[in-house]
Amino acid sequence: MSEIDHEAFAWVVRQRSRGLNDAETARFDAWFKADRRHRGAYARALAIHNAVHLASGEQAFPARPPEADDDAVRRDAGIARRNLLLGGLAAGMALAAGRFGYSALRGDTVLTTAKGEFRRVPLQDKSIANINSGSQIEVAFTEQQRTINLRKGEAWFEVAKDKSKPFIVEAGDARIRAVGTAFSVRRLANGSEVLVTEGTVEVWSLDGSAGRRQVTAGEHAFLAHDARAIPVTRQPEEVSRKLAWREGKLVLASQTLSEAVADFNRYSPQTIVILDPALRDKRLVGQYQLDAPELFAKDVSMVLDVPVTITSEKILIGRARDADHARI
Amino acid sequence: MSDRINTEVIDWLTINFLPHEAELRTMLRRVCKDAAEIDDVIQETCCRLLDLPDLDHVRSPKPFVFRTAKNIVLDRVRRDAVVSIETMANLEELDIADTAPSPDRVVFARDELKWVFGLIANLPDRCKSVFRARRVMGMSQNETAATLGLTDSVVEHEMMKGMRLMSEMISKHGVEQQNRVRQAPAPEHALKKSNVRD
Repeated sequence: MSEIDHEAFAWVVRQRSRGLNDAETARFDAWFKADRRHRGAYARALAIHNAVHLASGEQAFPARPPEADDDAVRRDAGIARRNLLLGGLAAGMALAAGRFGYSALRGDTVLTTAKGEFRRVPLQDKSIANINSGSQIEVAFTEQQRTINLRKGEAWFEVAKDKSKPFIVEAGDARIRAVGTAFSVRRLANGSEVLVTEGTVEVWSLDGSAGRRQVTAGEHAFLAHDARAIPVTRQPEEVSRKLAWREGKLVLASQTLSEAVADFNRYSPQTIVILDPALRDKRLVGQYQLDAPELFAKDVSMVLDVPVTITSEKILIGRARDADHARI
Repeated sequence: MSDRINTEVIDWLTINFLPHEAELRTMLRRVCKDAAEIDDVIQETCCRLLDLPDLDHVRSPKPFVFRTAKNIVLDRVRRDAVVSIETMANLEELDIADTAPSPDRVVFARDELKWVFGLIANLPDRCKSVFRARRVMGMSQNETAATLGLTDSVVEHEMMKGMRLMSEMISKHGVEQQNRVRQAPAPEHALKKSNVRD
């Protein structure tokens, strides 16, 4: 331990044991301000004291009743809250399945998600639609065919096997047919993207000019609006990266900052804006929770060494030429 | 000044920083020139965490702590303008995967502190009784001193000793060395947490 650590312990012990007099308080303030390391060592010393303090109490009363009015209990609550927050998204998805699954089973046919909302909806044939943020699907099941119209956004389907009734997703002009498989369809401005995670699907365009292509697990297909062909590429890692939203995650494997920002902006009510165009092509590797764009922004700030400004509506990355934003 | 320190941050450090400090120090050995620099990086890491406006959004605290430390080392490397290839390679090791229990499992403070019990057991008896008396009986320093038959300055001395010993133990034996029941770490090493390629 360094001398700084020992100084920090001495301050904590003095404060906790008998309190500081005015002269000592002034000395402490000066010490605290003098060096970042002093502040860090002091925080660490407080944490150690906290650990010993909490643990000494817990040892003596292992079965402390919850109604005891004690700061340890309040801390318990605080910790539980924070850990519960960790599970918030998963719980939200489970809740959504419970709430909306019922209406889908009853035959309500249009399912919509708001920005930042995810739904896992069991359909009446036991297939499951996992609907990404800001999307809408229409479910139309008949005796002959199971049809889903992806009106906007993206959804990943786990299709229940039923050879007598093909499962067809319509996305604009694009058509995707599955028997028993799992795949996603996403509508983009210039066409539809199909990612297959299990089995095989058949894709084609309504006007038929591009023919039909089989797409199997780990493959990616893109149906451009007026393409003459449907490119299919095998990229299993990319397929699972792009579907990380199913676990509430956004995975970056050397995507550019502008791609990453566009991805986050699909989910977050806070719009991320890159102020400095020079930053757009910086490539990033990382994994984030979809609902924590500010954590991503803070990392970008640290790794790229650029300022980040977070407000309730926007996250600004970098520095505009004419503005001088505060460093976070 | 101490009243300006957010107790939530201190709780966060208690739960998310101290248990992994030993492991972090071990990794820092490969990228720092000496023990003094490791102490500096640990202190600066705590300071940076203390300065963050909000820690509630940190989903994977351990990787976050390691990444914070990594960035401090990076800053030092940039400042010194002498980049050792070895340092840069070893820095990558600080990009750890999240091996924390699955998020839907709610962990309570008592479990979080289990590893601390083991360390406290190693403290000298007089040290232990001072902490326990102050904590459990809620005694003031004077009362503690009177009850234990010690002078005020001895109580303060024992607390100081306890802090130093705990600090030493935390820096050497983290939560991994304790018999803490943990899930096997998921082999998710493929995903780096945060990095930049220009």
